[in-house]
Amino acid sequence: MSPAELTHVPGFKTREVGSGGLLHFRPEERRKTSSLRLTWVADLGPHNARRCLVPACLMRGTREFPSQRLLNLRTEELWGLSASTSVDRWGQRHLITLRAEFPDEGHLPQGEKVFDDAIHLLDQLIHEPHLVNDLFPEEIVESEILQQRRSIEGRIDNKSGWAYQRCLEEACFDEPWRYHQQGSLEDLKHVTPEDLTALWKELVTHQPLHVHFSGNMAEDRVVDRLSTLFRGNHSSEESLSPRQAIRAAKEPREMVEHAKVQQSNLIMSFRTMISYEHPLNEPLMVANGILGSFPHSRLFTQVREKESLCYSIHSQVDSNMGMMFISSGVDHDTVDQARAGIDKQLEFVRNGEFSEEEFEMTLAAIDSRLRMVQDSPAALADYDLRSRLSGRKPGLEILRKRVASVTRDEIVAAMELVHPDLTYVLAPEESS
Amino acid sequence: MSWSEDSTILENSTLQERVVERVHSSGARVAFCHKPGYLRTYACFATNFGSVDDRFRIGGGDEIVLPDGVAHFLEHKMFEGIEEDAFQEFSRLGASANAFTGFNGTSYLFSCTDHFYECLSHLVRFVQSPHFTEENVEKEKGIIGQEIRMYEDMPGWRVYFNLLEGMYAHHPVSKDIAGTVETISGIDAPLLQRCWESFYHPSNMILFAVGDQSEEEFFDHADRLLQEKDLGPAPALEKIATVEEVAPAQTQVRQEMQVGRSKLLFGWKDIHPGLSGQDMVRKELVSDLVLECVFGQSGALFEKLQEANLVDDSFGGGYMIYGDVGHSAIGGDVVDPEKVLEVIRAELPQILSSGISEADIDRQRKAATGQLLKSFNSLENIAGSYCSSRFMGADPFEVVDLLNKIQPSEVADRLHDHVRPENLVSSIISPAQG
Repeated sequence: MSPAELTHVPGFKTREVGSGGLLHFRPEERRKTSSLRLTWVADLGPHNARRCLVPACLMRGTREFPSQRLLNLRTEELWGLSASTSVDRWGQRHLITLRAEFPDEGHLPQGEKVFDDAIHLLDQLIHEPHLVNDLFPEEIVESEILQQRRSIEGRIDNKSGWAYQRCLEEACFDEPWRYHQQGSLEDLKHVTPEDLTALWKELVTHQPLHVHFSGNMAEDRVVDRLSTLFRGNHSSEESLSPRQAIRAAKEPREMVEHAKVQQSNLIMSFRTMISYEHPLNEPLMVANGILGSFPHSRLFTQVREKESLCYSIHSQVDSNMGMMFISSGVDHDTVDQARAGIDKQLEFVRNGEFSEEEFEMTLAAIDSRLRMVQDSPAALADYDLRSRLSGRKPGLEILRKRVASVTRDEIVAAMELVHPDLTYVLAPEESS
Repeated sequence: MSWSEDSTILENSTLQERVVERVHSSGARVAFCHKPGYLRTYACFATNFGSVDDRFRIGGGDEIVLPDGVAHFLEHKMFEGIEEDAFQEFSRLGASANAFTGFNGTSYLFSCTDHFYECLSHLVRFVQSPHFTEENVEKEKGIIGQEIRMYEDMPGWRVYFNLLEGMYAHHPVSKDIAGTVETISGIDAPLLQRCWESFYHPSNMILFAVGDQSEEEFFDHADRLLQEKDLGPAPALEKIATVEEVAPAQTQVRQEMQVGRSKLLFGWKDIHPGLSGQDMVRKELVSDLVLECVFGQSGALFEKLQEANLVDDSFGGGYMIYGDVGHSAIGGDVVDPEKVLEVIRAELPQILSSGISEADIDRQRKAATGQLLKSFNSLENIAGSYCSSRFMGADPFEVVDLLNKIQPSEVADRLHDHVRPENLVSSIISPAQG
C-alpha cells in the first residue's frame, strides 16, 4: 500500500433532522474557511424557469436587511462571507442550491467571531426573506423575471453548451432530462408574486433538503446551529417522481442547425443502457476514460494530435440517462473527417485493441481524480449528494475499489452496449 | 548541494502559510509550501515569458520582434517529445498535467496523489528538452487555429480583448494571447528554438511545489534535477518595453456576434514604467478597493443600475497589472449598454466629489481579508500567486499586511488618479442583426 492510501480524509457523517431533512457533517482542519451547501431536490419539468426565480428572489433581501445592497453590506461585514445560489440538474432532478463560505474563526483577529452570525444570516435568507404584505415585492419579481429571461436568451452565448442542450432535447424529446435547468421563456409568462411566494413555501417545506457542512468546528455546535435551517421542512420520498427507466437506441439520426459561428460544434450522442447500478457502470467509466476524457485518451491523441482536426474534443458518460456524448469544435469543412476519426476510435475501444498501458493509465487517472476530490469540500459534497440521488452508495472508497477491479473483457462488454443515437452539428450559417 | 544562497522564508501569521525559497546554482528560483493533510501535490515550472514579451535582445545584439502568439505556441510545442508527448508519462504516473500562457508568464504544471518525485522529474526534464521540427510545428498550426476560432466565438473573451484594443495603441497586452491565424502562420522551428534558449534558461524560471511532502526531500530532489542538464550561463536577456501613450487609443470598440444578451466592459488604463515589488502589489490592492467601493454590488451605483433593470449579478470588475501597464475592467451582461454608460457618466462627478468613506474602506478591508483566506485554500491559487508575485519582485503574503495599512488619503488619491471620466474606454458586444 502506498503512503497516500494510508492518509485518512473523513467523509460526511449523516443524520436525519426533522422529518426528511439530511444534515451531512465532516470536520475539515486543512482549510481556512468553512463551507456550507444547502440543496433542495425537485423534479425537472416544464416549470423549471419559475422555480429558478425562487433563489433569485431570496438573494434580494431579508426582513432584517431588506434590499440586496443592505444584504451585500452585511456579507462584507461578515469577513466577505460569500453566499450564492445556483440551479443545476442531475438526471431527472432539479437541484436548487445555496452555497456559503466564510473564514474559520481561528484565522480572524483575536476575539472576532463569524460562525453564529453567518448561520443566522443564511437562516434568514431562506426563512425570512424580504416580503411586502406577505408576498415577494412585485418590482423584485418583475426584475428577476427579466433577468431570468435574459439568462435563458443568453444561453446561445456558449456555443458548445448550446449545441449539447439542443442535441439532448432532440435525442431525449420525451425524457425528463431534456429540460434545461434554467427552463423556458414560455414558463415565465404570467408569473405573479403570489405564484412565487407559494413556490418558495413549497420548496422549503416539501422538497427534500440536504445540508452539507465542512469546517473546523465542533460537531455538536454545528448540528445545534444548523438544525434551524431545516425548520418547517416536511419532505418525503413521495415529493419526487419515481426514477425514469433508461432507454435503448433506435435508428441513428442526424441533425444540422445553423448559427453565426466561426467553427462547427459537433455533438454525437449514444445510448448505453447502463445505469449507475448496472454492473458494467464502472467498466463504462474506464472505457470512456480510454476513449476521451484524459489527455492520453484516444480522441485527444489521435483525432486532435495526429490528425490536427480540432482543439477541443472529449467524451462523457451520464448513467442517469444511460447515455454517452462526444463533443468537439471543428472546422466545418472537416466535420465528416472528424466523425470518421471518432468512429474509428470508438471501434478501436469496442474491439479491445487498446494497449495494456492505455488501460493502466486510465485506471490510474480515474483513481487519482477520485482521490483529488477529497481535497475539496465542495467536490466531496457534490459527489455525496449526486451519489445519493443516483441510488449508489456515497463512499468514494467503494467506487475506487470497483474501478480498480475492472477487466478488459468488461470494457469490451460495456462498449458493445453503446449504440449511436443522434448526431448533431451546430454549423456556420455560410455552410447552409 | 548547489544552492547559491541561504533559504528565504516567506510567511504570514493571518494566512498561517509559509514558503521556503532557495536560489539554485543553475539560476532557478525553487520554492516549497507545506500543506499538511492534502492528498494532492501541485507543482509548476514557470518562465517569465508571456504574450507581452514580444521584443527583446540578447547581449546587446539586434532587437528581435516576435509575431503575436509565440509564447503560447511555444507552450503547445513544449509537450512534443521524440518518442511521445509529455502527457503520456504523466498519465502513466496517474497525474494530471497542463500548461497555460498568460500576459507575463507561461506555466507548466501537474497535480498528483502519488509518484510525486517521478512527476517532478518528468516536469523539469520535458520543459528543458525542446523538440521542434518543421513538421510538428506546421501540424500544430491546425490545432491552434481551431483554438483561436473557439475564442472568436466566445463573447466574454472578445469583449475583454476589444476593451484592451480600445485602451492601448501600441502595447502588446492588447493582443490576443494565442495570436491570430495570420500571425502564427509565420512561426517556425528556429524561431521557437531561439525563444526557448532566450527565455527558458533556469535563471528566468521558478520551480514551485505545494502539498504534503517533505521540504528537505523536495529541495534535494530539485537540486539533482536542475543539475542534470547544463544549460550554460544565463543569456544576457534584455526585454524591450513598448512605449504606450497616456490617452486611450479609442473611446469605444463595438462588435456584433450571435449573442442573446449584450456585453459591456469599460475601464481605464494606467502607464507606470518602473513600478515593481511592493509598490505594484499596493497599487493593485488600492485600485481593487476603489473599484469595489464605487462599482461593487454593495454600492449605491449598482443599486441604481439594478433598480432600473439595467444590470444583473454578472456586473462587477477588477484591476490588473501587467508590468509597466495596468487597467481596470468593469461590466457584465446588459441589455442596453449605452444606457448603462449614460448612467455611469452622469453619476461619476458626484462619486468623485463625495469620495469614499472610511466605513466603506474598513468594510472592504474585512471582505478582502476573507476572500484572501479563501483563495489560500487552493493549491493552484497559492502557486499562481507565488509565481506572479515573484516575477514582479513582490512577496505573495505581504498583501494581507498591506491591506491593513491602506490609508483613506491613498484611496482618495487613487480614485481621482484612475477614474477619469474623460478617459473612459468601453467595449460592447451586441446581438448580430438579421
